[in-house]
Amino acid sequence: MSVPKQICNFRHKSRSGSDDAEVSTHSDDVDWLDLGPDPDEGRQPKDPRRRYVWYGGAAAVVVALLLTRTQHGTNQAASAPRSPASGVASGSASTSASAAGPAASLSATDPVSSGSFANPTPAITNLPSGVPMRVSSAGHRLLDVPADWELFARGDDTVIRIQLALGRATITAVPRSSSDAPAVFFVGADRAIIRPGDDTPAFVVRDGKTPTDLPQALRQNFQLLPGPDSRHIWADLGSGLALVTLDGKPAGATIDIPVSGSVFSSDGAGYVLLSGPAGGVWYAKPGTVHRITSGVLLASGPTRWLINECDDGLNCATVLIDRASGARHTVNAEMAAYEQNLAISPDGRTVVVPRPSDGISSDGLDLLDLDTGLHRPVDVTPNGSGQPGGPSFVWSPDSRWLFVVNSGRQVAIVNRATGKATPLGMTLPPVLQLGWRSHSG
Amino acid sequence: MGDREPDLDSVHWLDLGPEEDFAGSRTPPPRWRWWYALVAAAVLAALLLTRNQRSAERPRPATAASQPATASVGVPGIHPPPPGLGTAESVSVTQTGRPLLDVPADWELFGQGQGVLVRVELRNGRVTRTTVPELGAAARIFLVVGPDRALVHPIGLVPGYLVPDGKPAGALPAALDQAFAVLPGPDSRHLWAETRAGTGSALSLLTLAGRPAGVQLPIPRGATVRASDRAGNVVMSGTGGVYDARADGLHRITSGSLLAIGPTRWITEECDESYRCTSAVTDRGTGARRSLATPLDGYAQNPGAVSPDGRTAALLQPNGQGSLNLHLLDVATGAVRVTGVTTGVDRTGGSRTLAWSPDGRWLFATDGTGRLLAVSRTGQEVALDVPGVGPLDQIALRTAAGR
Repeated sequence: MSVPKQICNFRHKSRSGSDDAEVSTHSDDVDWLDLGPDPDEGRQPKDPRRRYVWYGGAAAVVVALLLTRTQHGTNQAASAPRSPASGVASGSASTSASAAGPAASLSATDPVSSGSFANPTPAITNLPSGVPMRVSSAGHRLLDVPADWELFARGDDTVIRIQLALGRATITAVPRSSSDAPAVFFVGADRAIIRPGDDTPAFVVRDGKTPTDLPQALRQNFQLLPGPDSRHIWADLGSGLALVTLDGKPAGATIDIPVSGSVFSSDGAGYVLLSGPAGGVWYAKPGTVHRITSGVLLASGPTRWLINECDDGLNCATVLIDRASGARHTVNAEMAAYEQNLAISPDGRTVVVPRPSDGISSDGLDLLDLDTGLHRPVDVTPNGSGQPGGPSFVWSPDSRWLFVVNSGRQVAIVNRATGKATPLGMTLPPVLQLGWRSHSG
Repeated sequence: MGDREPDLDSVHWLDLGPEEDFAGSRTPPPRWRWWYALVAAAVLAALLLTRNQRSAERPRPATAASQPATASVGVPGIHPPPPGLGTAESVSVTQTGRPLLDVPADWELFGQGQGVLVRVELRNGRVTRTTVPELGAAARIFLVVGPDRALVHPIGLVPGYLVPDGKPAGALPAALDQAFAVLPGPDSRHLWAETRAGTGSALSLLTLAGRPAGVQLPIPRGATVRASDRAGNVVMSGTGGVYDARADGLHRITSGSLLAIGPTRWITEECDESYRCTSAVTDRGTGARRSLATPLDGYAQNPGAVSPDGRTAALLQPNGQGSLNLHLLDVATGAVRVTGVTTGVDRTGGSRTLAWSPDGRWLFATDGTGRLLAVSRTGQEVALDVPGVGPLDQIALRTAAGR
C-alpha cells in the first residue's frame, strides 16, 4: 500500500459518519491525522454476493502471480523466523480449510494462506479440532443498522465477524488461549489481529480466511494500538511509536514517547495515552504531547474525556472535557478514581458505570448521562466482575447501541435510550472481547 | 531560595499544647485512682470477653499458648500475643568499650530487623539487643521510637509489639494493635494511627499508650498513607499527587513524585503540560520552589530524606543494575555525590532506611545487606560495627531533645 506524503499534516476532517442528530460535541474540531482519501469513501455498501464474482477473477490472477513467485515466497518463508506454532507448510492448512464444509467456498478462493506477497505468513496449525471456519446465518437482520457495520468478537478459540445487517456470523477457529489473559484485539479494514495475553503467538484472521501468523514486521512489537484509521496501527519502535500498515510497513508518522512515560492505551481517536511515575495522564500524537489531567482518566472517547481531578486539598470532582474546545464542566456524579477505562459513547454523552451499591448488591450497570448526571439502569449482567469498560464493551458509531458480553458470554445489545438489553439474535460460541468495524465510521 | 537557610518557624508544626500526661511519668491525683481502678477493671473484663470470643472464632498459633506473659505488657492487644514475645533473657547488653561514633551522648540509634530490635548508644558504645517476634514478610513495617520505648507495627492487621527500654518485647496496646498503620507524631510522645472511622478511615493522634490525643483527620477515599513528613505530620498519596496531611487539612506537596522529605524542604519531580519533567526543591515554610538542574529518577518508591537544615538530600537512585545507590544531593548547588552505599529495592519499599542526625552532619542508613552505616555529609562512610546484630530493615534516631 502506498503511503500518502501528507501523512503528518493535520487537518480538520469531518467525521460525518455519525447520523445521530443529537450529537452536541464538536468532533469536527478534533485534530485528526489525514491519511489521504479513504478508498471506500463515498461508496455505497455493496452486496457482498457480488464480491464472489470478483473473487473468482481475482483468484485466477492470484494463482498466476503465485506460480511466478513460488520460488521467491518459499525462500522468504524459509528464512523468516516462524512462531513455534507454525511448523507446517501453508498449503496443508489451506487444504484442510477447503475440505471443511460450508466455509470451503470462502477459503477455496485463497489457494495459499499467505497474508501478503511481500511478507508471507504461514498458516497456523495448532487450531482446535473441528471446522476451521463456518458461516452461520440468522435469516434476518440482527439490528437495523447500516450494512457496513460489523461487530467482531473473540472467544477462547474463535474469532467471529458479525455482519449485523445481514444477520450473518463468520466463525473462525483460532489457536486456543487463556480466558484470563487480556489480549490485543484489533479490528482492521480487512482483518483482525489478535495477540493473546498468554504465551500463544499472535495471529491474523483476514476476512474469510483461516488464521495466519502475524506478519514478520509486527512480531517483535510489544504494543499494537489502533491508528487513525482502520488501515494503520501504532507499533512500538525504539523510543516511540511508529505508524505502520496492517502488514507492518512503515507509514511515515511517529510519536515520540518521553523517557519516563509509558503508553497504556489508545485515546479512542487513533492516538495514544501516556502515564508516568509522577502521576497524571497525557495524550500523544505526532509532534505533540499534551496533558489531559494531573488526576485520573476515567474514560477516553473520540470527542470527550472524563476525568477525576482533585484540588490542592484533595477535594475531587468528576469533570468532562470537550476534546475540541478544551471546555470543562463538572459532572454531577461521584465517581471513584479507580473506575478507569470506562466505556464512553463516541458522542461523549454517555458512559457505562457500575451501579451504585444499594447496600445489598453492587452488581449491575448504569448508563450515566454526562450532561444531566442521571443514571439509567441497564438490564444486563456483564461478563466477569471487572470495570464496565474495556474489551467486553463496544459502542456503535452513532452512540445508539452498546454491545456487551454478558455473563453467559454472549453478546447483548443495549439501547442507550431505554437501557433495555436484547440478545444478539443468534447463538455464538462463548466470547470474551468485542471489536468494531465500520467503513463509514 | 538559594543557599538561604530554611525558616524553621514557618514550617507547619502541629501544636499539641502543653505536654500531656505521659504514662508513668506522673502519679495521678488520689481521688482519680479509684476511677482509674474501676475503668481498668471494666476494660480488662471487656478485653477478656473479647479475647475469649476471638479465641473461639479462630485458631491461635500453637506456640502462643505456651508463651509466658511478660511483665512489660500493660494492656494486652486485641490480637493474640505474637509468638516469640520474650522473657528477661531475651534482652542482652553489649559494651563495645569504645565510642561507635563521636556524637553527643544522648543520641541513640534504633534498628529493627527480623527477630531483633537493637538500641545503640553511639557515644557510649553500648548496644541493647532485644529478641522480638519474627514478623515474616510483612509488606511494610513501621518503627516508632518514643522517649522510653520503641513500637514495631506491621501494616494491616498483623500483630506488632513494643519494646520498653531495657525490657523484653510485649504486645501493643489494643488501640495501636488495631490500627492499620502507625507513624511518628509531632513529638516523641505521640503517634499517628490509621484507624477505622465510620465507613472510612482516619488519622488519629494517639499517645504511645494508645489514648486519643484529640486530633483526628478523615482520610479521603482513594488516599493512601505513605510516610511521616518528618515534621510531625503524615504524607499521603492520592488522586493528583502527594499531599501533606496536617491538623488543618490536606495540602498538596506535588502533582508529581515526592523524592525526598525533610522537616524544612521537599525534593520533588514534576512534569509540565508537555511532559517535560524537572526536579525541584521546595521550602516548606514559604512554599518557594526552585528547579534543580540535576536530573533525578522519579521512579523511587521510597522517598529519600532531606537533612533537618535542608542543605543535603539523601536519595536512593537506581544504578542500572537492579539495585539502588545512595546519592547525596547538595540542595544549594545541585551537585550530586554518589556514595558507595548500595541497597536493594526489596529492602527499601515503604521502610525507613535513612535517618539524619539533628545537626545534619550524619546520615544513618542500612545497606543492601542490612548493615548499619553512618555517612558524613561529604559521603565518608563509617561502618557501625554493632556486635551480634543481623540485618536491619529500618532505623530511627532518638535524641534527648526529642524526648
